[in-house]
Amino acid sequence: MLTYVSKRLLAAIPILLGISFLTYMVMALAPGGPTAFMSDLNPKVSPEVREKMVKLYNLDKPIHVQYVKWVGRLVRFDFGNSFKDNQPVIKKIRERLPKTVLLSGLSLLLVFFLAIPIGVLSAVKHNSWVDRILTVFVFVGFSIPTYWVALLFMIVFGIYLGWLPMTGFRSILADEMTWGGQLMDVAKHLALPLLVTALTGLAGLSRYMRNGMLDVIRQDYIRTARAKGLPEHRVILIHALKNSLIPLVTILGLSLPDLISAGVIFETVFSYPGLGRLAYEAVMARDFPVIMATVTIGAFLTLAGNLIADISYAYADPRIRHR
Amino acid sequence: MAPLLSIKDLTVDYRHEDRWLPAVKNVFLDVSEGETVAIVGESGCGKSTLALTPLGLLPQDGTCRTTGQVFLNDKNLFNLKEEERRLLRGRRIAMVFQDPFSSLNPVLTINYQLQEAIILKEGKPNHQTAMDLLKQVHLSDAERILESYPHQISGGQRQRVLIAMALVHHPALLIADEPTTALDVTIQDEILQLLKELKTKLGMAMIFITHNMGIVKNISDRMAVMYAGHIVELGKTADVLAAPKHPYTQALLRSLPKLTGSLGTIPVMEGQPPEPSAMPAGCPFHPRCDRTFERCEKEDPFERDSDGRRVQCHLF
Repeated sequence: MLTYVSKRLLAAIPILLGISFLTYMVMALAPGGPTAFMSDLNPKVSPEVREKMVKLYNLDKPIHVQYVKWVGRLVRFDFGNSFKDNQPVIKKIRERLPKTVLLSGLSLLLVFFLAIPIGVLSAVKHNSWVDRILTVFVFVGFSIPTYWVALLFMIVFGIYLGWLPMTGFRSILADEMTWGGQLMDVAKHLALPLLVTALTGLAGLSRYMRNGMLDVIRQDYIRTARAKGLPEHRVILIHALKNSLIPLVTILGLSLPDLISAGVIFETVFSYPGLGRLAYEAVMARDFPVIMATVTIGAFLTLAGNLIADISYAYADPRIRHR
Repeated sequence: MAPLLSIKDLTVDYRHEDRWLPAVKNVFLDVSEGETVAIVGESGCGKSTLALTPLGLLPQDGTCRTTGQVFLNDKNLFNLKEEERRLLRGRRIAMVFQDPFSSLNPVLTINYQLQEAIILKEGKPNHQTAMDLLKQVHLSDAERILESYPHQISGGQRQRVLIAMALVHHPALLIADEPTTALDVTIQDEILQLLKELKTKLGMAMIFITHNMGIVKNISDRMAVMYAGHIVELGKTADVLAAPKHPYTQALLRSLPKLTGSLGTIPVMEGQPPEPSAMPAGCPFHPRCDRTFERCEKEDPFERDSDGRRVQCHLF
């Protein structure tokens, strides 16, 4: 197992290089270079500052040289400074990443805890009214775009009912609250984004769970379990569920990069200070160091997710473990 | 003495789109204590459906319906609640399935799956009982097998485990649905000998489903020949094999290749069994029968008598 993991980690290095290289090239091709907003029309930027910037990031050198220099800094964990405010990129990420992980992690957890029972119920009550209602709910959830649900919820819960704050992570006065009050404040801010992401994520996953369960229920070993005289709940919750959870492990691993990519849209809608919004703003501002950092982290999470999925797959399925 | 299992006028239909198609039709069959009845027939003749009925393992989702009665010791199984039927499964009636490769749960150890059955009987897991059960089905190396997952042991070993699992409660009736079909020929014979031995030792009755006439001869006291959901011929195995009466049984036995004599052309039966959606009127066999006459096209032959020899054919 250890050799397998180290082999996979080594194989990840050229992939990461490839992804970052392509990103670098695409950015270079995009109209409006990194210094576009530092043009002569911008009174805040003097030609000296611009000159310094160009020199620091080797912007006058050919693109492949720039890339090699960027990689050279990266291996020392130096992501550079943001073009926008000259803050270290690593500091920005350290600020944003935990908030994104918190929101997406909670949402992922919520989705899995709800999707599994819904899928199982739908499969066991196959073609009954329960199944039909759940199916309608799932298709509605699947078809409606996230940002639209987000806006709808903001109007209903934020404006009409006024129950929940619509944007941000904390209240302006949060610092003056007690410890418990601050926790409550964060929870309130998380409620809407969490609800929206969970609702849309739930649709696909519960459908997946239902179909997996339906497949398993038709297997011979389920018939054997029944023929033994096992009570139905044991047949479903042990014999069937254990098998139908295996493919879900893969999905869990593969949804790791969604932590960032899904955030790009709804973190922006909710003005949630997460990594997704950072990436979005960076792209808009052609902030090369920040874009490259978020892409690198995204690529790393994707590869890590794949690896985790494969390892846990082996853990869940003895047929793979013993090979 | 009342028979152990008594199937009276059983019809099983499956729903296909908007129609109910019969898989088993007007079947009468009795099985006495300690007796082995073989059920033979081509694929799709309804023998597996018939085997699943006493256990109550037919689909429960409304795609299948049954009429008629199935008695186990004078208790009509169709009148029981689902929970009461479950308590008979494994305890009074056990089953061994066709494919040992797919009949064990791939993600649970043999020990876990065996102990589940033991817990139902003894209330708690018991290592010694598991060891004894495996010994009973002649599995040496029982410790290793208990720790294994199904994919780590051979097909023959898996089938032995499944047999051991079926024997936990010393059931009165064992239903074996082609238990040797998926195995190598040498293993087939071993499993067959094992089933014969255990049946005698435990005094079980057995319903043995197969399409192998050699096995029928070897293992059964009586045999039933099924065609298109009907039992067309029933009688003592030796009698039926020596002097088949129904034209279908005769054609079936004629088409067996012989080990002695010249290797001529093997006689084959023309045609195919009817699709359930296109059952011919009258006797279901008449389109393929070489002795068919006018009445066969109009009237389904029906023989009610369930003991002794029975032939569902207008010729008799």
